[in-house]
Amino acid sequence: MPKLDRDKILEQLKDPMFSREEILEKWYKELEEGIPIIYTGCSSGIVARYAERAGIDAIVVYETGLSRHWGMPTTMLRDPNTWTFKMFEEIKNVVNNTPIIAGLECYDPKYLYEKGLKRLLFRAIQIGFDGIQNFPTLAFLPYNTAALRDTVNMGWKRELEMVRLCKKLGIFTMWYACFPEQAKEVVEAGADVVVPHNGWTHGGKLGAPVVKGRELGAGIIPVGDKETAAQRIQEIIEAARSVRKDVICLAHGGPWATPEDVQYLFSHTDADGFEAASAFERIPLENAIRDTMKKFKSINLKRGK
Amino acid sequence: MGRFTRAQILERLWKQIGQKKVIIAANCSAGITAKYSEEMGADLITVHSTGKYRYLGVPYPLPNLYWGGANEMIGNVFEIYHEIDNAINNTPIICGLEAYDPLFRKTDKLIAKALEIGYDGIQNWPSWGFHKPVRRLRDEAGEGFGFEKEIRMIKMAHDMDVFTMAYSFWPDDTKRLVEAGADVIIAHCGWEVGGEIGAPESAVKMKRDWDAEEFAGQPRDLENSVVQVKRIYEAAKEANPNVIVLATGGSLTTPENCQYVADRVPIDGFEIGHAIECIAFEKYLIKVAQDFKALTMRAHPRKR
Repeated sequence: MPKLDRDKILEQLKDPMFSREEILEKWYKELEEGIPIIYTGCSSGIVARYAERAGIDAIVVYETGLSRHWGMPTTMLRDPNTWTFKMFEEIKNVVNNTPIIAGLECYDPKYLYEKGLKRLLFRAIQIGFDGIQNFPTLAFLPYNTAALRDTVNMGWKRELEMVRLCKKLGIFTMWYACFPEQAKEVVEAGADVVVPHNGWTHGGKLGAPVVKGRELGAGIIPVGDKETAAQRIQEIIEAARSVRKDVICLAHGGPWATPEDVQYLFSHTDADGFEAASAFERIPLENAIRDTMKKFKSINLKRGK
Repeated sequence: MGRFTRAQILERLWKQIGQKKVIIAANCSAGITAKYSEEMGADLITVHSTGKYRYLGVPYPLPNLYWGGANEMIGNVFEIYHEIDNAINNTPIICGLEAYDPLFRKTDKLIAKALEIGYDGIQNWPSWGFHKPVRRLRDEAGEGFGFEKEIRMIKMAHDMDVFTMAYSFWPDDTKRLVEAGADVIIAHCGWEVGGEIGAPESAVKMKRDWDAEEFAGQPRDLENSVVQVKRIYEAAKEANPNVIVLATGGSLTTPENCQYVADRVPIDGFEIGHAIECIAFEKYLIKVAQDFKALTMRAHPRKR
């Protein structure tokens, strides 16, 4: 009896992967029509299902999202890549035609050196992700901290190495940058999309505290008012485009929490779109639960005791 | 151990009844739902091993309940307790226990485990109540993993002075559950209707003689939900005029539909889960995503 070839069978069962060309062609076409690129952080099947249903352009999966579903403020969790990898099946289960991007902690101490970087990417692509984003990211930290970490190859430079590796392999990348200088480095390394980040999102019931200015010089500190935040975003966009004129620049974090907020962002910056995370899977859920429960508690009973 | 005694929970519920307020039990599968349900006045939080299916964004028809071993499945009631309790301050948390779980032949140990984790009361969920021919078979065969075991669990918990809420699909079951000591009867109207992951139209419209088939888990439209709530309510009140009666399932998945039922049957309140984690999430998420996609940009349209 002839034996079956296991590899040939597995080959036929593999899911196709989105190429960067395919994703970018669709996105540039939308931009030509004046449609903003909107992608969302999704940490549960139910959120991902309706993201796709409403025509969201990409879904990004990362561990901090889980804390939102726990009813907690957006929180960094220990060992992020392990959590993120585990979340894939639940999201993929309800998503048919939307790229699923992995938020990877590139400086994960379990994946050291160049072989570790490759092994980390290997795991993400093997699991089924279509692209990579740098999250959690050292773009959040003050430059001195990230630079210190670079001396043991666990700093910001490692995130740039990941961009270069993805670029070499044709894998789609969306990269956070909190400062103009970072954006330049990210585009030089070959990122397809730059995501200027305004820090921790405020807004809703469990948003970040509002901070004026950026006293500590760290990227995670939320920019307080829309005007300053929009200025920051615009500076980062201009830095990115000084390296490559047509690079897609989205925006995320800080005061951008509702469609109305984001309209201000789009009217005052050259952003091509927006990443909704707390703005998608926290604030609308808070409203949905509170509004609905309020209606249920105001039901009038016939019972008269 | 739980934070609320049976007497304390009943006092809370009777206070609502005294003020002529509706009792709402929020069936939660994530901390965020529990947190904001409590904030908006939910009287009880209930937790089911089947709840995670809603959160996965997949349909969860009643046939899902044909399993055994739900108490220990991934994301089970024992595991999720901490996430729910962590998100709330001061509301009793009730555990749906699968009485016929082959991993827990000794029901006293099952109840003890739920209490030890911190639950304040129990429910018979998943339940075999909705399908009489199969449950009879299960009751009579082998270890007797059928509905009789659920009734025994309610009685056992009641005898331990544990707060109990019992799902009932049939008037005759209702009487027996009340006699076993159930503090609350929940009239179950079957597979939840509404939203993309609720029972589809084709299932709601399926024409069969359900009563003759002794099946009660079918998804009911609003009128049939009223009929079901009414017959369970009457049976419960006949057995004990002081038993608290809630309703759930079927078309009781929006505030408007629940109001419609409350106008026709003098019940005490509702248990809701699908209404928030499926229907409201769907509505709010799609709206916000579409709003984002409809925004206009100063930089566009532009050629590459």
